[in-house]
Amino acid sequence: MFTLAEAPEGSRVVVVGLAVGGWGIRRRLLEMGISPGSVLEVVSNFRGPVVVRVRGVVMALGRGMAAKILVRPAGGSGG
Amino acid sequence: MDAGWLLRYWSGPRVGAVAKRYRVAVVGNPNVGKSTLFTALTREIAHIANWPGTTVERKEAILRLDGVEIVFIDLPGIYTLAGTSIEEQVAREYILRGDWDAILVLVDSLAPERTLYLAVHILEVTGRVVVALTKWDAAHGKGVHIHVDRLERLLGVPVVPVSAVTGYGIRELTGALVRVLRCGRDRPLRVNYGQLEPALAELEREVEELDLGVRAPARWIALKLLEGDGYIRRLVAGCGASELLKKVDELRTAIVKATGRDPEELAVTYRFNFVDSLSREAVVRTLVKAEVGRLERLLLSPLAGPTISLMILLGLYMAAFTINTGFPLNVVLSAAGMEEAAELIEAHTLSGLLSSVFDALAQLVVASSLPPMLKDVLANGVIPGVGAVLSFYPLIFTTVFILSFLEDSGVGPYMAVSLHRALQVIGLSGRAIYPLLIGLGCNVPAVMASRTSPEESERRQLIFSIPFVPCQAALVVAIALTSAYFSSPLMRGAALALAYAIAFILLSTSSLVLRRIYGAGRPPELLFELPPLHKPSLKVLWWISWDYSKHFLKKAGIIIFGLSLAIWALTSYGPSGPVADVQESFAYMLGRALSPALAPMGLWGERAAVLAFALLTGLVAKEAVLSSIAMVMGSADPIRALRALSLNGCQALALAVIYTIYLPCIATMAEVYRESGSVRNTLMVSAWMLTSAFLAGYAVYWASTALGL
Repeated sequence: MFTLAEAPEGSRVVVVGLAVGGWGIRRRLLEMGISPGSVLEVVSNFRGPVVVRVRGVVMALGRGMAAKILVRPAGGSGG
Repeated sequence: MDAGWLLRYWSGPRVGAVAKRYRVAVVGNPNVGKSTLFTALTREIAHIANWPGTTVERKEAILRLDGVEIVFIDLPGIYTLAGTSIEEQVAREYILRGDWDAILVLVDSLAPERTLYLAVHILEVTGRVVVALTKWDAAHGKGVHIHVDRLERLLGVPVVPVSAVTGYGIRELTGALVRVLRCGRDRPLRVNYGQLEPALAELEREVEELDLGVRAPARWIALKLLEGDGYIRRLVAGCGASELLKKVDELRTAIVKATGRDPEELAVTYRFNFVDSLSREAVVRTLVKAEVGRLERLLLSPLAGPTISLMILLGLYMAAFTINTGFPLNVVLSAAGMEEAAELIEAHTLSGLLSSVFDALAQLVVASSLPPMLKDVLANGVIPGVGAVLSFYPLIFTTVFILSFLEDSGVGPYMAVSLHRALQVIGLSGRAIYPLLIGLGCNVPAVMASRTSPEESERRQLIFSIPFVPCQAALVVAIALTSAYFSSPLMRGAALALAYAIAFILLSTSSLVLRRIYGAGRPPELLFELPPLHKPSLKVLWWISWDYSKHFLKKAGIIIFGLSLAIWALTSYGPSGPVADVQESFAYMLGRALSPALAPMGLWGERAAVLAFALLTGLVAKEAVLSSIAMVMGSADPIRALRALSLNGCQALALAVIYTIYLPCIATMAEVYRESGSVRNTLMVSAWMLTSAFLAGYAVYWASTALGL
């Protein structure tokens, strides 16, 4: 298990948990489709914000936020 | 209460009035194509303002059909009704307060799997909804096929595919709205919340006993209570139902114990499950995997992204300002010794052409047979005042045009990602690059461009720190001062660089301090969608720019005009009435009174009075500093007039710093006020700029004197 900020570019990961502090940010992530179990495709991850694809939509997340999202590799077929 | 409110109550409930007036709230995710559809649907925005106490924009438009008048209220772009941002709070409050007759929800037909979520959420509140599937023209090309009638059946409300670009479906959409407005039933959608259902049923019964004064079914309130929504909790607490809240807490704990998951996480998951079931039944994707495009990937790549973004910005920026004011081409040309070419360019820019029109008008008035007193007021007060307002118009128009282009094409969000890191250093996000860059040309459209930021706190940060960006007019003054007193181009360059560096330091400090105030010191967090790039519709860009710039003229125009007139009156009147010599005017007296502020730099008496007077006149427009010094010193050439003040190098250097920063011009002040809605904050920023400019000026004077320059 590692955080989304450490996920390599091009990989597919499954969200395990959101260690995000504030109710607002956590809630926002949930409602944008980033909740435990959802599959993220890491489009770009280079120092700046992390860009992922989730539910067919490309989204940019601040690095600080990405470092609080726990993920694991999605395995071959994904979800 | 404003007049619109009264009007609503006069015309609203009466039966048999000429046209029945309805209110429709327009809701959708950011990037769903809302402003585009809003413009296509209504053609003309009747009213632009901010939602009370926020910098969130509120647009209203009226559509008149036979026998019906529909007022559209554009709610901010949101993902949910949870209230995690100011935009969501504004939208949620509006919907719950119930000051609407129907809601128009926009769903992106290119991303129905995601954008249906908000629609479902709103349908749980009310059934008086019409769903519009936007960007329908592009859906088939991207391999997305939506069974409209199936979706209609599943949601229980009209679903209308539309395209703002081609106009497809617009008439059907208004037709569906009228039907819902006339005879739509308010039956909310029921989503199955599985493990939450028993708790929901229990709470629902108790909520029914309360009158919370909001327009939402008891089941929805119960759901929000279970989700731990603070806003709804406060509403319930306001009704004194502390027993109910205790029960909510018990149920929440029981759910966590039984399922190992938070109730809010469960609720969101069930809602997404429902959305997924909708997509399975009503959406077919023939291109199985919509890839992230090549251009999009390029914009996100580590090196090419920032480079391309900066190039796009610089290109657009140069185009906008060269058309309008000749900047920066004129400065480059005159620096290269081609003064004539620079002047020629300036004369043929939009501002140049406008000012020659107003000069001609003023001359016509002077030549007329009007009474001399009236002639003076018209030719020197009113006409230049109107000219000052209108000269900003093309600049505002082009800025809005470019902003809409960046947003509508989807390029803007990508640029924000690639430039984010650099701007985080000064407490801003990648979105801030555009307003900052525009500020180098003119602060007025730059303050307006603070709207590109998706975050309320960052918008306030930008509105109040942008006035520190030295604009083109401030640059002209600084160039004149340095050219008058430094012979070597190297020294001139260094002096200008110093002024800009100090302005940048003050800008960064202000931005960081404001971050502490508005954002609790945390850096602005990015969390937004990157839409696929597409070609924007010129027609729509034109509409939006036209609408916006018109509203600028109305609002800021009055303040700019009024203050220009006031400054003119101060410079042309003295204690004994109209004065021929400015040195007898009120403004000059005021300048003399303020001149001790320059004493720490070794400037006293007449020289200081002239300089302080010039500072006052520079409020109308910074470049006026030069013409007023020239006027007092009785020389047509500003450089010669400046030399006649016989300053020393250190004083010239310090003055260049002060003139670059000292205060926002009145047009910028008007815009800061218009965007922030706060007189107090506008004045505070101005006071802070004045103080810091003079302190920086003194410091430069003392340091350079000590160094023996």
